[in-house]
Amino acid sequence: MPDLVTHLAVNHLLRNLTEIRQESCSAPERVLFYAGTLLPDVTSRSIAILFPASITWTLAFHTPAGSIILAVLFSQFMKSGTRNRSFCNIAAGSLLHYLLDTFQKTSTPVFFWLFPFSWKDCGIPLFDPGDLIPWIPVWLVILLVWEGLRIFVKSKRPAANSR
Amino acid sequence: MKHLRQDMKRLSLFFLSGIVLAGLSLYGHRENPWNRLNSALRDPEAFDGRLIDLFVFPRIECLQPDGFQVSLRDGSVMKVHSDTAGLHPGDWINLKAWFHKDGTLTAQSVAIAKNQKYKIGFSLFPPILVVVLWFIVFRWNRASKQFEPRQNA
Repeated sequence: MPDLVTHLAVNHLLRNLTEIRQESCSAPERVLFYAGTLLPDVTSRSIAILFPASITWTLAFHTPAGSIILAVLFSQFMKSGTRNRSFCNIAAGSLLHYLLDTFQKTSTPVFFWLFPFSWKDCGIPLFDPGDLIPWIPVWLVILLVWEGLRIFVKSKRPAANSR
Repeated sequence: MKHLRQDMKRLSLFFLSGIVLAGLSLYGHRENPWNRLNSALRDPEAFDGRLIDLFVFPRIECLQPDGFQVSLRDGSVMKVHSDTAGLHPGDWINLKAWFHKDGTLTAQSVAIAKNQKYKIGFSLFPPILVVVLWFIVFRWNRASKQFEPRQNA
């Protein structure tokens, strides 16, 4: 897995690109999307780091099928009438997490994206996740510049409309 | 009546997804394609000569002329026969190795897990950030047992 800062930064930027033309975006939906981004690693890898013997038990939670079921489960804790959108946001965050994971190099097959129907490893080894660590400050600067620009554009918009 | 029906649907989905997750977890545990060291150590004769995946952060304890020793997360130390070029004591590695019934391993591939300490360290911050954002944006309603967006969110 790449580190969670990289996961969150990439998903945040991808989400912003899809919302670039929208006037406003819902904060609760964004937070659900971020929670979905972290969900696969929090429910599997972090537990395996603390309790190595549990890795086979939590394997299912780091697969698209497991994440979709987890999204169904967690969305039941959300307010009635918002559960479908909550599910979509959590699931979208998780699935984009897997998109990034797919391109990392590992010596052991871990990308079982077709689970439980197949144990085929679907990884496309392009980068070593350890190589991304020195780039974390770069992601953070890109995010700060991006968010600064967004706030600047937003603050200018009402003035332009009032003319 | 509508509320009751919604609650029933919510409860059904809650239990159904819980049961499916438990089933997937059990299936993953029983049928995964990894040969794990725990299983090999339980039955060394059966696993003699088989390829084992060690990927939950074994760490090189010391280098030796014919290989190195790795310490595992449970505190045990194992001997690995391998080429040691480019390896250093303290490196976290991903290791694929043939198991021998005498309890030693012969490496097929050794990959250094670069910056592993920093990766884990940096990864602690995003969950904290999301939990903080979560409680800024949502509040728990005890009566209806669900998270609701705060008025100003």
